[in-house]
Amino acid sequence: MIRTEKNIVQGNATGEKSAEHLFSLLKKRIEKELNTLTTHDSKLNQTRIDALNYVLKRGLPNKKQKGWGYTKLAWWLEFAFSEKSMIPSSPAKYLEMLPPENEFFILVLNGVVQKDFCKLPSNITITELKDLKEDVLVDILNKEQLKKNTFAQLNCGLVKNGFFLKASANDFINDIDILYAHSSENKENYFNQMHSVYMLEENCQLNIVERFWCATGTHFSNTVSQSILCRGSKLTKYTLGSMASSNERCQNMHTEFIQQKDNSESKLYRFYFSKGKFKSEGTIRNNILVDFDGVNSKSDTYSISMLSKKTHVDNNIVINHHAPKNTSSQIFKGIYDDDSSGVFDSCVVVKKHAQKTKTIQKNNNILLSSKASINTNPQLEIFADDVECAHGSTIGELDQNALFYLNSRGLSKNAATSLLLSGFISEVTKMVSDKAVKKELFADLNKQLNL
Amino acid sequence: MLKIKNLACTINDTPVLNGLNLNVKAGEVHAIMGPNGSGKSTLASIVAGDEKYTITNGDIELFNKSIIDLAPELRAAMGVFLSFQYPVEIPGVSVSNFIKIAVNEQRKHNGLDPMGSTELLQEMKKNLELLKMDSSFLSRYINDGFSGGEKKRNEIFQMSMLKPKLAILDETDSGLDIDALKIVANGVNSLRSSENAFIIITHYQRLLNYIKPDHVHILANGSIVKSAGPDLALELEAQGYAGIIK
Ligand SMILES: Nc1ncnc2c1ncn2[C@@H]1O[C@H](COP(=O)(O)OP(=O)(O)OP(=O)(O)O)[C@@H](O)[C@H]1O
Ligand SMILES: [Mg+2]
Repeated sequence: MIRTEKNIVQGNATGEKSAEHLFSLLKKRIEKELNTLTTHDSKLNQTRIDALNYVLKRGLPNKKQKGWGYTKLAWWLEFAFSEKSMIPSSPAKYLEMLPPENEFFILVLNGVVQKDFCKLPSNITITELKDLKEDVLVDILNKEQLKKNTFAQLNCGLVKNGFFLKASANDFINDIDILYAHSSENKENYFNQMHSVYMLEENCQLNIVERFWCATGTHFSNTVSQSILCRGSKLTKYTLGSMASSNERCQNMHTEFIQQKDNSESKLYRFYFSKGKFKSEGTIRNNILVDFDGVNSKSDTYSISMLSKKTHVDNNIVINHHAPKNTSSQIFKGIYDDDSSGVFDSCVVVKKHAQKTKTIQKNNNILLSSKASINTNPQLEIFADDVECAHGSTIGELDQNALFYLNSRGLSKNAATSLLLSGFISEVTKMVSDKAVKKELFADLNKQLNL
Repeated sequence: MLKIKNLACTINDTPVLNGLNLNVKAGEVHAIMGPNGSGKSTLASIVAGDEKYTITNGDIELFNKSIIDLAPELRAAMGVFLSFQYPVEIPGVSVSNFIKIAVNEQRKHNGLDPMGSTELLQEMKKNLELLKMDSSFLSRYINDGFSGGEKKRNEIFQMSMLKPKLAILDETDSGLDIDALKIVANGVNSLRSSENAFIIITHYQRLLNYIKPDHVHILANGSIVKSAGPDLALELEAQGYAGIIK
């Protein structure tokens, strides 16, 4: 697309016309891809064709669709549907953004793993999608669990970039930093499709910290991550910010799929702040999907959104308890200032055979401005009878009595507000065990809280 | 130290105080008694700087300086402390962290260097012991899940750390058992000096057995209707307000 005045005038953030216009552009892009895919018959191409046909059939999600009531695709994304691969000259400089004390790291630049800028322990291998055996790639892109998700299907149909990371058991826990960066030399608009897979073999432990850096411009990131946790494995994943970081014309659709076998443990942390090092200023949509296929496993998801300006974070979560004796928890905290907004739309499904399931779903929110908003909808679908389920949402403002209490003991308005808010999110912050993450998190929080 | 002159205020356009006068000198203890809803907590909050109330007339002077336009934290830095009738619960913020911030914010206002963590902790432990409180209080969240009596003790603990010039205790005795009452009274008495003053709001004469007031005032319908020596509290206990308020 070429950016012209005419295009801008045509755009209308809410109008149906712009949604149609956007879809017509996407359609062109998909049809071009389909033309290439149909020239050669293979299992892989068929998988991609099916995925893209699903997108064509469904169209882009609209307000009336379940789960899409509050997040829309903005008209300016039309500039982003020009998928270009840009490799900047000096990947080395991006490594400076990672904490120096950590030994192992992966640099992903404009969606491409930079092999020469990765350092991994011996029990971990990383393979680019393009180097995978066809069968393996087909398995990844053909996942049943991703089939009802338009954006995941769009990704499966178009994705070229990404990696398959395999961790085998070792005596120690591996900490790996991943930096997803987007070229700074180029201010072009960018359509990022990435697909990453984490395969945790039996009894291994992996800690991942994801950081993002994005140049200015209009971005549309449509990423998918799959984690397969084999028996006895443990995954901790910190996501600090998102690709929708540089300005409000960024949109990040992310699908996080976690599949857990017996005795496995997953911990997800997702932090979205409008200020500080890991700022997000655009529109973020997360689809988090956890499937318990084995027994005696645990999944914890923690999140803090502390937003200002027009930043929007939509968390759509489905936790499927297919098997008995699994425990899941979600603790999501939101603080919304200015025109920012959030969504918590979560459903825990407890299947008939999933006896002795334990689950907690918690979403607490504070609105700091009259223009900020949150839509929260915790749901439970329970078909088993021996289960412990707790869920709840709260929406409130800052407690004026508490503020006066703190003021009267000598704390200024700012200090009192900060202390109240830090108390409000402490349920999540106290669960952060990674030292480097904790340090960066608190530095960012303090910036956000004006401390 | 504190001069309240002809003070009138409203909350949500409802008048609460009307023409209240009170004069408290350094070294004195004043008790304020009065029926429910007469305006005692209002008076306490307004001296501490609660912006919920609108002052419609009069003035409040502390150390000969009008404070009605000062933010609550600035009054605190000048030495005002209010022990709340209903202390607020603040989940997620530990007592020790809060006290550390409060002490050092006040020191900053007064141009003093911040107190180090070790020194502060020692001071906290010393004061807890004086109040016969367990040191596990320090790591608990402020008033979160505290019993009624524990909340009141926690207020006095904070007072002992902040060492105010003017301490206003709003029904600190309500909810305390007999032993706790003595302990809290001891805590107050140990802070008493010729430099500072106390205003003690209470419904019962009992606390005044342990903390001897210099003056007892009766607040009714938004102003002080009678002031006298400590005997007034005894008189009230015997006769109730009927004989005193017309
Ligand atoms: N937010 C409010 N809106 C309207 N009226 C209020 C509000 N807050 C307090 N009042 C009124 O102000 C009056 C004084 O209240 P205050 O709490 O000062 O009484 P008090 O003397 O401390 O009573 P108690 O002995 O029960 O503690 C009461 O009539 C009360 O109803
Ligand atoms: Mg009262």
